[in-house]
Amino acid sequence: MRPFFFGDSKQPLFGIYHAPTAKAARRTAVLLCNPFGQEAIRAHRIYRVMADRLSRSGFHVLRFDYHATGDSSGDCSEASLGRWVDDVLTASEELSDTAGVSRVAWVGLRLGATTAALASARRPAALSDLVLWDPVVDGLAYLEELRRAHVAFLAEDLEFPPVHPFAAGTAETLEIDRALGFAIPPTLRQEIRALDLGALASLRAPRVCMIASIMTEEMGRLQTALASREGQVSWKTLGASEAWNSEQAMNSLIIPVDAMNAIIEWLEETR
Amino acid sequence: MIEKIALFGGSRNLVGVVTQPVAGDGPAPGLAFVLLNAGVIHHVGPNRINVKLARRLADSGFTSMRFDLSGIGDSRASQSTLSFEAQAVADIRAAMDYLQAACAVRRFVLVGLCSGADNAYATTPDERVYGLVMLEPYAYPTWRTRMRFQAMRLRSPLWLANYVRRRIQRALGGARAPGEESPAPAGPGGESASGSYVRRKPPLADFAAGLRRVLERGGAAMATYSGSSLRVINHARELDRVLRPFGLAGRVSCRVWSETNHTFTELSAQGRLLDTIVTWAVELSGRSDGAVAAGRRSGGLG
Repeated sequence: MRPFFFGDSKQPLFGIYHAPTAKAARRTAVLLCNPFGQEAIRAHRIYRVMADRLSRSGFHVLRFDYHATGDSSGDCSEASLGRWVDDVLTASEELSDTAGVSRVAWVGLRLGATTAALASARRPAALSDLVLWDPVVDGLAYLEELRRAHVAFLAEDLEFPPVHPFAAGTAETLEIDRALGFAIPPTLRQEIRALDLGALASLRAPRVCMIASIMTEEMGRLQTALASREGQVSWKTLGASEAWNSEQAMNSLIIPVDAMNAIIEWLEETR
Repeated sequence: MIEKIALFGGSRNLVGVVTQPVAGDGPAPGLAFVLLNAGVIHHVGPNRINVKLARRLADSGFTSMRFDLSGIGDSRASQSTLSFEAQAVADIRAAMDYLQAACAVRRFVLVGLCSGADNAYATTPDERVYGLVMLEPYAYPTWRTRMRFQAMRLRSPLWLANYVRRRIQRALGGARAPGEESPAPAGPGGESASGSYVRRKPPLADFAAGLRRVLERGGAAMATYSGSSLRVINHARELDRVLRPFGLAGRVSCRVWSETNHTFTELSAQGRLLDTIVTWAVELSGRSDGAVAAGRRSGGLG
């Protein structure tokens, strides 16, 4: 495991590279794309464990922080989905160079899955496989989920919670400028609001694996939208909802092993 | 501001990020900061607060390192057989060793939230610990605490509604209900906690002894408590009161931010916290520089 900074030296990104520890290294590398905000805090441990397992299976793995997140450069007020799409491409290239392989698979969780799907539409030659785990399909619904979680968490955590200003409306009527400890600056908010089925349906990858903790209505619509695309789309529904933005999730040591197993097994099928 | 990766510890199993000021970012005080894990959250801290703090400190001329204890975040587990608590202290000492060698600094401020505050306190026997920034550290409620809390309840129109809602949620098996009988997760009163961390509060005399060690070195300590902890501390003077029998009244800067929650979720709360710590640090560094100069004059500390 090797932590390092990469990308633009004036605005470096932080990454951790896991070299293969299996006797026979695979010729595919795996890039792990973070979700947003509090979900990224939880994802850190999930990705750490996943990276260790993948490296033991012979994969080269890179997990990294987007600009203005984690240890990467940038203030939270600079967070932007457009920039993060660029960061996925930068990180993928870095991984490909570091590992010395030309094939890279991307794994994204929640908003990280959506970001990866958007980046795939830029069609980097090396992208071989794309895993989307509980992607954010409807941006406005996601903001509304964050709004509710923010209000509920503070009501829960404070002994005497005041009425929160976010309780006065919905993500449609309010400017949700923060959620669960993280800023949602105007650019990011607009980018998230604009996310819809079309953003994910525009993904471009030879092989796609969709992991749905639970088959919601919007995941059903996504399944329909992706059915008509060329290439292989594998769906795995786990049947248990992951409360990604719950209070318990925040400091949780629990790893969703079923989802992780499904992802690793699917990636191992590749070669 | 410059950031560098640090790999250190006996088997180089510990991972950290050192944030250093660049020339012109203010004076280079003889103090460095070590930013600790809160529970199992990796070294960026809850809501990325350690990163924000490190960069703000660098703007004021301070070097800091945020890092992961053994087995947490990006750091591999230690091969030693130490208990978790003892290993945490060993890891923090290793972090100070690293910064001491890399940056020629001999005085350190330890910053920690919740379990981080506990680990900072536990490291006070190390002579290099010159400052403590304890966010939600141990609290020692008195009858005044309990009376004031009851008065707060009576003044809170929403309290009863929230209490009933939490009880219902709990009955339905929902999220943690931090009501009267529920365990505040790793709260400062705390013997119980969420996740893997079980908080074991030391006797008050031991806690006071830890603070005294730092103060007697000429250092300083500050504590902040939140609106998640009002059950166990709800007035800034309470810490003073319980420390008075140990001769420490007025010696520890204490704040109770009742509208702020345990992990500083609101951005405004984060901003106030950062401002408070940086202001405190600048004041402490002035004192530290004076102590260093005095030490040099007497041929002592340098």
